[in-house]
Amino acid sequence: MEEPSPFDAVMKEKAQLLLLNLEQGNVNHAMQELLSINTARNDSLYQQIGKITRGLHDAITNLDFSNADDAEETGGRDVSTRVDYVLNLTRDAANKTMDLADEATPIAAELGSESTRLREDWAKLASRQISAEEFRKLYQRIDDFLAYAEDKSGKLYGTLTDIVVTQGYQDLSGQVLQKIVHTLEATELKLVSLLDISGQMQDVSGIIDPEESSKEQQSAKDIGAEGPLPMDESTLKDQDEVDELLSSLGF
Amino acid sequence: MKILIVDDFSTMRRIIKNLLRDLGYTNTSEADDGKTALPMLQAGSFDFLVTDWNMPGMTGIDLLKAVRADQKLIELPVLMVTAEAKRDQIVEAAQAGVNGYVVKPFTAAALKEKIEKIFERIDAG
Repeated sequence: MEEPSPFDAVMKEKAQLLLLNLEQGNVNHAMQELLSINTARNDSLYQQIGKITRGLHDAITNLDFSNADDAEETGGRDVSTRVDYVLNLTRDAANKTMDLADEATPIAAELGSESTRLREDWAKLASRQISAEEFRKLYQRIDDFLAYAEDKSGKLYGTLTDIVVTQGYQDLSGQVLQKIVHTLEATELKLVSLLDISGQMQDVSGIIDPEESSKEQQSAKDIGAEGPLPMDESTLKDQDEVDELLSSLGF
Repeated sequence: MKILIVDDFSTMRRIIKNLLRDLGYTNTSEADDGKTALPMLQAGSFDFLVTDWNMPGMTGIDLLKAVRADQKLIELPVLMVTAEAKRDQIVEAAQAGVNGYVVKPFTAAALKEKIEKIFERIDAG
């Protein structure tokens, strides 16, 4: 149960006076008590509305949506800017890693295929099946290959180091995501406290909670993109389960 | 040369460890925040500290201050590797006695250059 609001106490007291005045035939005084109940009710409503307004303001400020315009000055503190930052960071890191791998792949392929060709000729040399002219050419090719291998292994080394360093995006995006989680948790707390206040307000205003219709609206709002997380009982395990569900729906 | 790497993200610790290995420094240990790192520094004979700033428990700047306040660690070279890039923060780290400051994201060349510079100064001193 919610705490009784100050208005409850006023209403009780005034109602007793109202009854007393009516019993004694003081209709004039009774009307005044009735009016003061109404005034107290309005005051209480204004107070609750004030609290809700303040709470919403705090929650919105917390998310920094109101500062979206000066996000550049504040270093992009609002949630959507932060999420954009993570999206860009992860995309750039993925692209850079793939570019680096693309640079390295032909080097590895060339090292492999030239090694294969040289080994075939080397085998001929070993079994003395080549002429003096062929030997001179083989000598030159081996010399070129060694220079190529030396140069390109340095290049591969650098590329692999760059790939490792590029993974730093995980730290940077992780820090931003941690901040977003903290912000959302704080905002959730504020919004929950708003729910309590609006519950009290419904009592004072005498509005009946249209529970059923609000539940329907709620379940309609819950359907949206959530990405891979969170996994819970409602999460399907694999494509088979998805297909199964779809077919049960007539697809 | 014994080096302690402090960062709450294991990916970043691995990256720094990898780059240090390239430079020929293979004797490294790891800690995930200042609170874990400080007793390791006080107990072990570390020659170099690489630390992040933003960490739960004890931040890198507090770790740096604790290191400089400890008579045994007062001379320990400290490199800060962090995403904190505000002017005030860099000033604070400098005043607290940091030896180098690398802002994330960094390139392999940039980190190596800073580390080598610190080691050169140690060797010269």
